[in-house]
Amino acid sequence: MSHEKYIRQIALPQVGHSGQQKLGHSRVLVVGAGGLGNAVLPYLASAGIGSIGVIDGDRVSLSNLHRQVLFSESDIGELKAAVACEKLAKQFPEAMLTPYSEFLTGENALTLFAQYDIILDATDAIDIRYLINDACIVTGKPFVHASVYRFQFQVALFNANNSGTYRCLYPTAPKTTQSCEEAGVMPSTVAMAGLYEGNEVFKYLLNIGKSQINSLLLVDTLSNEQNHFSFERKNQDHITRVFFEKEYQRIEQIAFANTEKGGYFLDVRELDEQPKIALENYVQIPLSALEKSLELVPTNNPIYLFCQSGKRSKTAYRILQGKGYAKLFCLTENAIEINEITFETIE
Amino acid sequence: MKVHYFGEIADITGKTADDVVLKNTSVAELLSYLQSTYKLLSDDIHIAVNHQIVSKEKDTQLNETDEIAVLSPFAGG
Repeated sequence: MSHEKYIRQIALPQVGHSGQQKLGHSRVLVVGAGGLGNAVLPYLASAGIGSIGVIDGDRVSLSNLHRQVLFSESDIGELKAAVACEKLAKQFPEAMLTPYSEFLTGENALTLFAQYDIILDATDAIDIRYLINDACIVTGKPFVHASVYRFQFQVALFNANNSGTYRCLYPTAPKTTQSCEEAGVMPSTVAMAGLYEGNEVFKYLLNIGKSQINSLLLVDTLSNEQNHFSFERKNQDHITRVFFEKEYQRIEQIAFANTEKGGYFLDVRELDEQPKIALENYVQIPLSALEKSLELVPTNNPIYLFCQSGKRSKTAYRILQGKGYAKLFCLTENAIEINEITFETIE
Repeated sequence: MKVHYFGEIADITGKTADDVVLKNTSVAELLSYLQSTYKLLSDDIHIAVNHQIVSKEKDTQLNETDEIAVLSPFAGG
């Protein structure tokens, strides 16, 4: 790391060489490469954050360009996370940039969050904020939040050093809210919100100033008025790994009797396991070989997974889900019950 | 009692602030006023009294001099 590059911020007594080193060793994950992400990413990289992850499964479209300034017209149709990292890497070669061109889900959130020091919420939907919040609680990570409505934005730092969480502020999601697409937004409003987030990241990592914890900052950019609303920290002990799995890692289950005719029955037991199953549209691929044998799994038909006890079929479900299979079901019955059902039918 | 509206709520009420007179000045009464006047559902909004967000379950008493804010989460980004 060239010190001269950062000399103007090292000159700040609140930063200094030790602070700069802290930033260089820090890992920040930005969830969303939209308006907020585009605003904050260049400054995270320019300030010398060592490692930056960007997760977004979305692609660049023409109506993004007015506020998502890392993208140009030639990027339309390209993956946002990949383009953003590519552009930033050219300008800030010291930063280790990792794009994840997928959406944040209950499947990938915990593993991903565990690899970073702080999570930055740059998303544009309320539901995903509960996923980020709960994944941060389970992995013990702080997260910076910002969200925009027309000319106003909200900012807060949650779950930092035992502070309140998004659920303490907003226990449940409202029934209807408008996104930037529906409500409209000026690029300057979303950029300011993104930079407030960046500022909270720096304060947290450098342990300077007063973090926006247990209090929501609401800024009106038309009047330039700022309001702070404090909220109480509530006990979040019920947000456990078990709760997380139940809430965000749902497995679709179906009874054998309700399966469709065109569906495929995928048996993920080892080849020598008993009983042998006789079914139409039956495929057997042991779980251990599943990832290498995906060409054998049909893509357009419903897939009904089963094994001996229901444990391996759930693992297989996750694997196929991660590969983009959509019509997946775990059968409520497994080999022994299925054998009995099919045996009765034949009789 | 001065009531301030933010974000989408100000669009629904058509104003950023109101002078509200309630018979019984409490949070429950305010919620019922907001529902009957603007069809704002209690589940979708949050009330701050003097910049402190209060629990909607507890029926907090309000004073005429209290500064009230009605908030909701924003979605955009």
